[in-house]
Amino acid sequence: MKLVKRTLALALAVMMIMAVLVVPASAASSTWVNRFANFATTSVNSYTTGYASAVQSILLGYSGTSSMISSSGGVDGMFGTNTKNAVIVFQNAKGLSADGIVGSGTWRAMATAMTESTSGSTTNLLMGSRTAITAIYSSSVYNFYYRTTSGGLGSVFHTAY
Amino acid sequence: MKCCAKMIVCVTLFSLMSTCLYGCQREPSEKSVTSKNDGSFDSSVIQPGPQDQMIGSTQAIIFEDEFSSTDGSVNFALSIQNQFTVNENPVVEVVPHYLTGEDAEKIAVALLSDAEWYEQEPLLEPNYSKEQIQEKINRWSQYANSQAVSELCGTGHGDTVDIIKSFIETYTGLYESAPNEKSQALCQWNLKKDSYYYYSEESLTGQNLSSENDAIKAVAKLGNVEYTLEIFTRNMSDYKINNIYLSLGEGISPDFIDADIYRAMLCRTDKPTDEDIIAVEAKAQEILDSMDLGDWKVDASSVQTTYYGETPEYIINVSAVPVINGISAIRRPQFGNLKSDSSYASNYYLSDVNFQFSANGDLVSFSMYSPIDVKEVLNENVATTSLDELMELAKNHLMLSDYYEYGLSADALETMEETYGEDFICKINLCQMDYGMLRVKVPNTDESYYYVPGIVIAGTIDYVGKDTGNVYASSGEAIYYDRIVPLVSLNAVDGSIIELSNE
Repeated sequence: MKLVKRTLALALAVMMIMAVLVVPASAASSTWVNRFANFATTSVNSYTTGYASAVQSILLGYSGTSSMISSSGGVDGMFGTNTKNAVIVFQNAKGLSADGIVGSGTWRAMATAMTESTSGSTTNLLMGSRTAITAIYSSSVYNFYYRTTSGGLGSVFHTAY
Repeated sequence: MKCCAKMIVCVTLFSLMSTCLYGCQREPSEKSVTSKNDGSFDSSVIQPGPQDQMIGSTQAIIFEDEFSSTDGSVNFALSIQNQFTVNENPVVEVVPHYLTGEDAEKIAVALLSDAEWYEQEPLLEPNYSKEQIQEKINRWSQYANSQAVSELCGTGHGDTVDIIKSFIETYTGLYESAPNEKSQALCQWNLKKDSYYYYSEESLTGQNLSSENDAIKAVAKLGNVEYTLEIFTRNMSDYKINNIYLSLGEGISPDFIDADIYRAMLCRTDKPTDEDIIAVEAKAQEILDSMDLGDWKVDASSVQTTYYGETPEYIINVSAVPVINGISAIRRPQFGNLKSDSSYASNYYLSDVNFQFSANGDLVSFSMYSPIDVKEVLNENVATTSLDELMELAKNHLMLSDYYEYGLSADALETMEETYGEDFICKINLCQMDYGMLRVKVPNTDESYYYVPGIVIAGTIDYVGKDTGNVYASSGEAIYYDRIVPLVSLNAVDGSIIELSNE
């Protein structure tokens, strides 16, 4: 039974990949942020492991909330009190409504924060180079979906790229 | 009945298609097998090492070879020339060092000896005085325009000015009702549940906080620079935590701009000289020694340069590893999480220290994960597998890997291959071997760990086009932060593979 499920899941994943729309990387920046804004609302009471892992991964990489995620055991895909507190701190710092619920505004801010984390002299993640495409495909957010069976993130992501 | 037949046909067709598609995925021809506490360690650990070892002498090693993974998707080039100092090879059982209030005070003094530490205000319900609010408004006002933000933070911070303005507005509103006097109490170095550093006691009345970490969070000002010290400890069956963080800034600022402001104040200096680097390495060692949290040794340092427009910012990164029975541990990638279902996964972060300094020796940040105490030395000098044998075992292990295992997942790879119109191959240059102490789990307990002698082999990773040789992804650029990445580690006592991740 497990094998059948795995085979079906793999087949679906491969078919999704075959349906990928490839866009020029120069258009990637706004596309990236917009696709994040379409992610499912994620909070303590409503989450899937893939989305929760993505939230934790982004907050772990964000200097203002990094210690909050690592000190609570790291990226485990569980949206508990610690993750909620980290989201509220993030929302506060971004001037958003601080309710601990990751809706479209917070997803958008998180997408932007991922580009900010490489500011300064480092090439902006989404400036359209080959590196940028690689960075997106290899990013932990992209890959989280495929490490979980209850994700839901991948289809949205694949539609973007 | 018809419906049932249709369904059977559909399922059969779908299964056939799935099988075909699944068959497109490349798979290694054999499964990688890792020795996991099969009993050989227990018998090996009591074997004494050779008596005629020339302790302190140097041993030169040269490994040159080329080989491929069994599925042909990874090509390895092995080129390692190194010298080791011959040391004794102890096996030591260690336990987590659970941080106390006394430790916290000692840590604070070691990091910033001249600072006066105050309890951190609840982060989400702070009670700042008029003076504190005015100070924040004055600081943020300097950055309420896009040019100032761009000079401070670089490009890509389009929303920051608006966020700063909104913070200034909010804090101006808070000013009138704020107390005249500073209400923060001097830090008493008492552990309390983490939530008390986010919410007021009043807000937390009646809540069950028993599953939370214990923490101490304190703030200090040194010159014009604010710091926050966070100390976490947890000894529960799910996972263990003993983490220490020192960072720039206090409380929540717009887009966490305070940290950028303070870092710019400290780090926009002349380029650090070799003398500067040596001086901060010595300072880091001194700080670690005075913390009294076990033996640590500075193992690496590097200068990180970031340009904001034409203005460079220099940070000297210094790292340290624990020293066990006189032998340094080898640096390994930190675990992503401590809650893996695998019974071989660790529930305690690897022991690790990282500092950031300015060229002038000012502390920019500090983190310590998982201090340890020695419980028992099981063997002062254990018999070990030869380096030649360990290298052969490492090669055998690597040959069973495939190109999905080096930074790009199967889906990412296939999508990228389609994007670029050619198949990829992974090229790995194995160029570094470290010999030292590595942590492994003690079977059937989460309370202690063994440090054993072992090796870590590291190398560079490049995904290149099979036909064109074009490089599409590399370590050090997108897939891994560092160019040279640890790829395989082995226990020198029994030759078993030590997993590098916590999956």
